[in-house]
This record gives sequence, C-alpha cells and structure tokens, in this order.
Amino acid sequence: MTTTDLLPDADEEALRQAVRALLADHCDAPTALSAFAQPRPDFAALRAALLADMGLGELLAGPGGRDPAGAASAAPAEPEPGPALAGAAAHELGRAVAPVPFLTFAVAMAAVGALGADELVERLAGGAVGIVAAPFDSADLAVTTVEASGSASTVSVTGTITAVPDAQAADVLVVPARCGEDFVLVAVEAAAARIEGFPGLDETRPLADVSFDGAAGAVLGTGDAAGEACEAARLLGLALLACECAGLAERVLEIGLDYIRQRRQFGRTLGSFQALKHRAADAWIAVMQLRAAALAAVRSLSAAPAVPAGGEPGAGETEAGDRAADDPAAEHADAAIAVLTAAAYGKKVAVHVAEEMLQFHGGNGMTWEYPIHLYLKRAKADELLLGSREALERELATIIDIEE
Amino acid sequence: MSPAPQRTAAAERELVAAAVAAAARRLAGSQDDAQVRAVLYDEGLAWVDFPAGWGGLGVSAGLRAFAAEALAAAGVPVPDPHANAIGMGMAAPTIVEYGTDEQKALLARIYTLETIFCQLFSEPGAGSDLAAVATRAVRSGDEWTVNGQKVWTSGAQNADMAILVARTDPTVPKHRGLSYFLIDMHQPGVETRGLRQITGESEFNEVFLTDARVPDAMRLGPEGAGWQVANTTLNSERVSIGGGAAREAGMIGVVAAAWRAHPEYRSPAARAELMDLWIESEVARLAGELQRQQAAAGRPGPEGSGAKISFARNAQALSALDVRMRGAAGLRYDDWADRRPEHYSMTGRNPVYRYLRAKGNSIEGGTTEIIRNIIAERVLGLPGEHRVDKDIPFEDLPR
Ligand SMILES: Cc1cc2nc3c(=O)[nH]c(=O)nc-3n(C[C@H](O)[C@H](O)[C@H](O)COP(=O)(O)OP(=O)(O)OC[C@H]3O[C@@H](n4cnc5c(N)ncnc54)[C@H](O)[C@@H]3O)c2cc1C
Repeated sequence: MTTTDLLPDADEEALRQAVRALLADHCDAPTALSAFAQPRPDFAALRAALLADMGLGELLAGPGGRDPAGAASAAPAEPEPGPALAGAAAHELGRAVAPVPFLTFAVAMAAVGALGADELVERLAGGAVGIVAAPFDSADLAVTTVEASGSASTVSVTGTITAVPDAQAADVLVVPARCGEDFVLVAVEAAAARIEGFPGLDETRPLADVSFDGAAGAVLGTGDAAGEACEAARLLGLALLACECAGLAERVLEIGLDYIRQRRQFGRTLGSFQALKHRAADAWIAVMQLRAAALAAVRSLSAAPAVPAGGEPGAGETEAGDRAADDPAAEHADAAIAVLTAAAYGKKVAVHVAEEMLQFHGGNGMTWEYPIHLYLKRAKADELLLGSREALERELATIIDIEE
Repeated sequence: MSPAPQRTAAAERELVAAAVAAAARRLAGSQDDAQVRAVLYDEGLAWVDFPAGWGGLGVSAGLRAFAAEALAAAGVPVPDPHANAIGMGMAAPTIVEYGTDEQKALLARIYTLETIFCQLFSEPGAGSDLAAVATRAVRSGDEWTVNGQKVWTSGAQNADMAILVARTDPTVPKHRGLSYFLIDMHQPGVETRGLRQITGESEFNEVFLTDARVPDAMRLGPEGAGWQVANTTLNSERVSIGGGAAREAGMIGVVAAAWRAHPEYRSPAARAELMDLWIESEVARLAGELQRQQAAAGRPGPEGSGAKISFARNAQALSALDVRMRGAAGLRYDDWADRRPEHYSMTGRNPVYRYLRAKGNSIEGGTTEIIRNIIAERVLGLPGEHRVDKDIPFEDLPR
C-alpha cells in the first residue's frame, strides 16, 4: 500500500463542472421525478447529451479499452485517467439522481474494453448503449444461467435474467453465458431479446427481466479472459457506485440543511435545535469520509489498469516505489480493498443520510412533491446494486484476513 | 511579523528538503534524541509551518507529514510526537501566534523537552463551558497572584510549566474577563494531587493554586483576551488528537491482530461488527489523508473537525468488541494499583485497560457533543446554541 494522491486534478474538476452545468440545465428534480410517470420517458436526449455529445462514452473506452495489448506492454504503466474522470461524472450524476444509465453502461464498456473488442468499443464510444445482462444485485457477473451454443465466434443464447438495471435503454446487451464447460461473454443486439420492464423502488435506474430464445450473439471473450473482464468491470462499477453515493449523500444533506435553516417551529428555526444539529454534524462527517473513500477507490483503479491475463506490468520503479510494480497480485488486492471499502461504506452512508434528511423534512418529507424520496429510493436500491453490503464486506474480509 | 512570502507548493517542498539535508549533514548519523531535537529546531524542522527562527520554515502546515517522511528517508530519527504532547501540540501553536519574543524563546525549550507543559484549563465548575472558569488572577505591579482549583489536569505531576486560563475581570460577561498565562509549576503556590481514574491509575490531577505567582511578562495575549487565545489552543488540540496515516494504525490494528491470532474469538456476528469498524477506521484514515493533502496544496478544509469524533467512536466501539469477543479471558486485568504512569498508550496494556481508557476519548479535548455543536455552527452554518449567560457580568451569574 502506498499513499495515494487523493486530490482531484484540473481535468476531473473541469469535467465535474461541465456535468453539473449540463444537469442543471437538463435534469432538475422534476425531470428525475418524471422517471416515475406512466409511460416512463426514455430520456434519450439527456442520455445522448451526456454519453455521446459530452464524450463520457468515449472517456470510458480509455487507452486500455482501445488497445489492451499496448496498454499491457507499456512500461512503466501510465496512470489511466478514465476511472477518476468517470468518478467525477458519477459524483455529479448521483447529486442529481439523474435517470441516465451511466454506471451500468460503464460496467459494460469496461468488460468489452478489457477483452479488446475494438469494434464494439467504437460503437459504444459513439453513443450506442451497452448494458451487462446480469441481475441488479449480482456480486459476480460471471455467475449466469444463460446457455450459449454454436461456433467459437458466433453463438445462439437462451435463458432468462431477472431484474437487470437499465436494460430498456440498451442497444447492445453484454451477456454472460455458459457454453458447454466454458464461460463466455456474448454481445447480443437488444432487439433480439425480450425485455420486460416492471415497476421498481427506484425508477431512475429501472429494472427489467431479459430473456433470450435462441438469439444470435457474437462471442467477445471466453474462459479466464472473460472472467477477468467481468471482475474488472464489476470493480469499476463498484467504484463508480461509491462516487455516485458520495454525490447523492452530499446533495441530500444540502437539501436537508437548507430546509432546517428556513423552517421555523416554536419560534425558532429548526436548525437551532441541538437534536437536529448533532445529527446533521454526524451526517456531514459520514459524507466527508465517503468522499475521501470514493476518491481513493477510483484512483486505485487509475493506478492499476486492469491488466488482462498475461499482461506484464511495468518493470521500472515508479516514483512512489509502488510495490505494485513488483507484484500485480498485491496491486489487484490493494485496488479491491479500496473499492470494496468505498462501496460498502457508500451503501451504508447514502441510505442513512437520505433517511435522516427525510426525517428533517417532517410531513413534507413524505410528499411526492419534495425531492427527498428520489434520493431515498436511489440510495435504498443502491444497497443491492452489484452485491449487498454484507456480500462486499465478506469479500473484503477474506482479502484483509478477517476470516470467520 | 511580516507576511510570509507566497511560495509555490514545489518551492516549499524544496525548502523542506534542503533543511532535511542540512540536518542530516549536521547530525552525521547521531541517534541522540537531545542532539537530534536541537538540530531539527535549529533547521526549522520542529514545526515547519512556524516562522523561520522559531523552529519552522514558514511553509504550509500540510508539509509536516512530508518533513517527517523526508527525515525518515534521510536516516534521521523522527522524535516521538507524543513526548511533551501538550507543550508541542497546544502551548507551542498558541505561543507562536500570540507570544512576545521572550515567550517565544520557550519554543526551543518545548521542542528539546527541557520545559514540559500541562494544561490548566478545566475546573470543577468549568469543563465544556470553559469560559466559566472561576480561578482568579489579580494584578499587583508586574506580577499576578492566582487562586483557584483546576481539575483533570493530565501530566501535571511531570510538568515544568502550564498554560493557564484565569479570570482577571469578574465585572464583565464571562467570555470577556479571562486572560491567558504561562505559569511556572515549580513554586510553593502550586499543589498537585493525583486524581485516580477508572483504570486505577492516576494519569490526571487536581491542581490547587494558592497565591501562586506569574510575572506579567508571561501573560500570553492581551488582558481580557484569554478566550480567543484559549480557542487557538483548543483548535490545535482537536487537530493534534485525530488522525494517523497508515492503514490499521491505532485500535483497529490491535483488535484485527487479536482476531487473526485467535480463531477461538471468532463468530459471525463479531466478524460483521469488526468489518464494519474496519471500514469505519479506514474511511476515517482516508478522510484524514485527504485533509492533509488539501492543506499541503494550500486549500485547508474543515474536514479535520470531524476526525476526533470518528477517532473516539471507533476506538470505543473496537475496544468494547475486543473485551466481548474474548469471552471470560477478556476480563483479565493486570493491576488495579494506583499508578503514576510516565508514559501511557491508548492501545497498550490489555483489553480492559483499553476499553476503560477509550471512554475518555469522547470527553478529553472537547466532548463529542461540543464538537458536533461546533461543526453544526461553523461548518454547516446552523444557528448557535441558546446562551442565557452571554451578556451577564460573570460575578452576577448563578453558580
Ligand atoms: C482523560 C482526560 C484528560 C483530561 N485532561 C485535561 C487536561 O490536561 N487539562 C484540562 O484542562 N482538562 C482536561 N480534561 C478535562 C476535559 O477537557 C473536560 O472533562 C471536558 O471539556 C468536559 O467537561 P466536563 O467534564 O466538565 O463535562 P461537562 O461540561 O459537565 O459535560 C457533561 C456532559 O454534558 C455534555 N454537554 C455539556 N455541554 C453541552 C452542550 N452545550 N450541549 C450538549 N451537550 C453538552 C457533555 O458533552 C458531556 O457529555 C481531561 C479530561 C479527561 C477525561
């Protein structure tokens, strides 16, 4: 473990500001709330503005995604800015509870990129939406019930995956499947799948059941390479989830504080009552700690671009004398520790702060009109995204040797 | 003091690196603590953010950690930061801000451990409400005569001097009638009695001041400004207590090590609790790290004020778990004798000691409740507490 430079750099700051400005114009609270309307808007313009026009899709492609062979052999490994930049964007999207499939898209992009599927990477970078066809709470994307059969490059897939986040926004589905004894990742056109949305707790990240009945798919990768791509994608997703939770908790705390600064009862502003002040102070501490942990998480992935199997990490000593330079397994463990810590903490803090701020709002907190419930719903659902807090803590325990 | 010239972060680092190189040259491998301290003070490496000539280099406080790392890398032993903790962490930052040159001459003595300090703030009637101190200081000519009682004074038995808050004008409201002094502990008017703690030992004291003397030259800051001066001390205290840079430093390291060494302590429920606290400890560490880096980049934030609350909560929860997870073995204590510890460690001795000692973490140096008030008001901008006694002369307050 080395001391990570946690401070956001100028590029991250600029991107954060740009995303915030765009969301201020195009994604206010009523827009986010409209995700709960029937029929649900598809937010295609907002999605295009962020992923295609602003280039978040391109950004996620990253040098590693574009050219994994090159990235793996370059020595010493350059820090990869993609995860930290994506984290800055995720933070802002969390603040706005934006109904945009950024996180889920990032997971798909990371998987595809890690396998060097250049054509699909180009397509996704250009604005097509890719989503991994795995259950919302999957803690291991390679666990699947979908069956594939066919040749080495083209297969047909059959099976059902329940509660896939953002599936209805997908142009392409990245499908984990079993092909005989082998694990494969397959790209299937969304048009070839049956995608049935159903109402869920958080409509800003909607759910759908996805099923295939002999749909045609292109094999992106097999075996260990596909498994490692899933793992890299999951870690990126969890790091971005921590950033999203940090943004969400930061913003919902601001909303709650604004409320108790203004509302008066008993001839005083609510914010002068110590019972509320102390809870606000505790929430602030948690939010501040979460922000630091989320920054550390995305940085750990920036420092450790997921080196595909067989890739040689840089031989030269880097400035900080990273032990990673001599030990890729240790580097992976360090990244996993940072990511699992931040994600488990984010799941705990986001829902806690949202619940606290709802209580600060009294009766207004229970209304459809006030935006608090959007934050609560997102945060409560996020407890399960990419694995429960308990599952992440168990996994972390194994890495840091706190065995049961 | 003329304003420090603006330097870039890189130039500041270079300045520190040059001082470290000079110190290493002069020390030539010497490990002698007294000699090391004297040279480091001289080279401005005692507190790098203090002005040049007074143990510092006038660079940002964020470079303290950098200086410590650079010293270690140069093979210079880094002096124990816990030695003379009150002198180093509380008296010194206050003296450098408010002191005359005569008073600032104490800085070298503090750093070289020639003058050990204790803190004579709290009284039986004035703890959280520090502005309610009743100890009186009365002036005659160039000297003050002090009468009153202080309590919970850590390390008074070993102290050469004390930072003292006393009432110099009872006719004005409580915050305005205080003054701040640097008082000699070795005099007939100062009587120190050990005060036994729940651990059995006497780490802190009662201190009785009976016609104790302080020269006016040892009044720190203007007469009547004791409250502002004391706040400089308290802010430094809260900053110096929290934090620690390595993963699993502090109580989490102790409990995790016990867990790893003893499979018989394990249960699913205890593991869930330990993991939660491991994560809480790690995020608190990262928040401290972010805060240090922001300060080093010249953008200090308010994040530090939360550190002491997290530190206390984690230390208490972890030490409580440690006793419980060991079963009856966790109840074993070494010695209830009334000891006078020369050194103590919050992570030392045994689980029972650590559990009991950690209870003080949310009380000493400002209680958790008081710090929450401070965060709510100064960081979050919420309205201040209702203060009924703010404008009433101290002598008219019901006490
Ligand atoms: C181990 C240890 C070492 C110490 N060392 C020193 C030392 O070296 N020098 C020194 O001067 N002092 C020292 N102290 C004293 C310490 O600073 C005080 O104990 C502390 O400030 C609290 O004051 P008090 O004990 O009078 O508690 P009180 O102020 O009476 O508080 C009692 C309880 O009421 C709460 N409370 C008080 N006011 C408020 C409020 N406005 N809002 C909400 N809750 C409130 C407190 O948080 C606490 O829980 C030490 C204390 C300990 C435990």
